[in-house]
Amino acid sequence: MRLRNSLLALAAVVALSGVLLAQLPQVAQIEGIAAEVLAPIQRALSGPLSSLGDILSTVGRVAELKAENDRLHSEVEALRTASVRVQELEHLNADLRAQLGYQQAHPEQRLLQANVIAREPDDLIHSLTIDRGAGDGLVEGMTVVTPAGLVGRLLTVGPYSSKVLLITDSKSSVSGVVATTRAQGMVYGRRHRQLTMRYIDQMEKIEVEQWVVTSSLGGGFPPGIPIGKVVSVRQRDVEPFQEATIEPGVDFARLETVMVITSFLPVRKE
Amino acid sequence: MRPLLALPAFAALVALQSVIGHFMAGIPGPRPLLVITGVVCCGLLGGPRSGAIWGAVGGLGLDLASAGPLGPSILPAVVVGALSGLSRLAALRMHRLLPVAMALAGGVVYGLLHMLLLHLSGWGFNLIVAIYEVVLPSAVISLLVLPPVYGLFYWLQKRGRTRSELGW
Repeated sequence: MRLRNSLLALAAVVALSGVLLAQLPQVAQIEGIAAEVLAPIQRALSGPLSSLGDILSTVGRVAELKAENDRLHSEVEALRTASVRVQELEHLNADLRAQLGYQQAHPEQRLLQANVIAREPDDLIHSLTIDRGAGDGLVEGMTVVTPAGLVGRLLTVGPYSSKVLLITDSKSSVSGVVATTRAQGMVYGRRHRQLTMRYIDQMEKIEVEQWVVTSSLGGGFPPGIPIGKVVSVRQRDVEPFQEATIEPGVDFARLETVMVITSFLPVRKE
Repeated sequence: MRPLLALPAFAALVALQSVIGHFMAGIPGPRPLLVITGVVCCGLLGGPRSGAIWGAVGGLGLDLASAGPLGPSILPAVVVGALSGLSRLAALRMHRLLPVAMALAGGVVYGLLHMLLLHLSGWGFNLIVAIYEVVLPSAVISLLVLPPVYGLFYWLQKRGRTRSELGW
């Protein structure tokens, strides 16, 4: 008890004397030396203790951070979906612009836009199904095109959908003409989505990269629609005709929308 | 198998078969034969008569969805269905590899007959090339869809059993 009282008295004396002596310059010097000694220790401890402080404050904010994380996740998902939608709209916009360009280039043709909804169940027949039918004024034999070129013709027409026989099908035949030289021939479908132009006169000069378009011969298709580009020519003197392999202008694997030319009806063969 | 259960299943398979072709158009390669796999499963589960009947149904659906004439799918599908059923009877019991073997064989038989009938209908393609590029690969890739299709028809058959068949 006596020791405790003595310690208390001593502490009071030191505190009072500190307050009274604080104004002396010597006390200020002692404080400066103490600060210099403590500074490196404080610097060494401040880094780790600061990190610890961050951790402790973070632990305290877990619920708040989780809520913000969830909100940001939802925002990212929404933005991602919007981005995909924008890409789709850009693609559709480009498609429709191309179709508009085609219509403007061919004002004499009446066109009906259609979506591709299905394809042939197997790979032996090349056809596709569109979402337009007799109810939209379609008739068998009408020509189907895209801005890139000829797609095919309507094979069967139902009330609300129709089947299109592609020009790459083995049963398809189109009267074609080389745009530059006017060499005539018949374009047939073959495997691997390529075309063969047959019965080209031996005297005609056919070259690679020349475009083949539909001809008015036969009356099956409107003239002047691009079919494809010549990629190779087979000419043998012993044969009566030349043959050319044609790469179609249309990418049949990526067809999503097509146009049906409703102002042209093919000549029906009796 | 109850018609009210199997008919919607076959209609769905036909629709899926034609839509798959559209979405896979950009991917080179064969298409799985969903409907023919279903016909094989019906034959294995229900016998040759059931296989033939559902083969006719499935084949009719394929012909209606196709741009080709009516017939090149029906007859081959009936043959495949009947053969699947007969193989089940000949095997005496359902071996685990029997569906795999019949799906493969059924795909090939269907493809060959279908191709031949189309050729006779006026579709002129190189038969040998078509066998290597379409018929055989389609039959092989159809094995991938065998488990879910077999599971579906097995479940449909179990649901369609009458009380007496279940022994109640």
